[in-house]
Amino acid sequence: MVLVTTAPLESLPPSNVLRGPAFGAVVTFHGAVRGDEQGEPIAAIAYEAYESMALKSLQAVAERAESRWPVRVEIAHRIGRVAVGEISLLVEAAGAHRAEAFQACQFVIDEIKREAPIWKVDYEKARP
Amino acid sequence: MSIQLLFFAQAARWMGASHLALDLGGAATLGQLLRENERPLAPVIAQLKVLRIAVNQQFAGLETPLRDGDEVAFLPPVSGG
Repeated sequence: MVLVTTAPLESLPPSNVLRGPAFGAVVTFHGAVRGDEQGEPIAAIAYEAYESMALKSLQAVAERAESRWPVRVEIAHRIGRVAVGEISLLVEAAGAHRAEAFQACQFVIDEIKREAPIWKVDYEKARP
Repeated sequence: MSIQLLFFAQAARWMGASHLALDLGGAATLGQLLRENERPLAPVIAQLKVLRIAVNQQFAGLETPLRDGDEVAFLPPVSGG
């Protein structure tokens, strides 16, 4: 599954794809919004995406990971306003063993940051 | 015959718009489209060194051919994740 959504990722149901007797290791990454940006406190970040291309990009990243390691991968990226502490990026990688699951998860995160057409477009200042 | 142009993030701020429809005219490639529309596209043409351009959701170069109805997107350096 790859998903680009304005809905809170915390509300996503658990994956029914990355569970089963073949998977001895499921690595889950939550990328959350930190409370400061370059030393200044913030309340939220606004994300923008070229949604049609972002979906294709996330799908391509997942497929590259799945062809490189014996894993299955799911990705969800939130767009719109994401408050501090909320999840902006969810990556899950499942494999028989932890080595490939961790490596694939790291790879997916790095690739998304490198190429997905998604942007942080506004930093909402925190109220004093 | 028109081309749909999309501008994202900083590119939209430079253009003052997120969407523009242009007549393809005689332009057969992305480079020709930019050359034939220098005035309306001046803000993004000035920033081509930092922008990537996608045609129909595929990264493209100035030699990429264009057809009626194509979607051309101007993409600043990404910052997702």
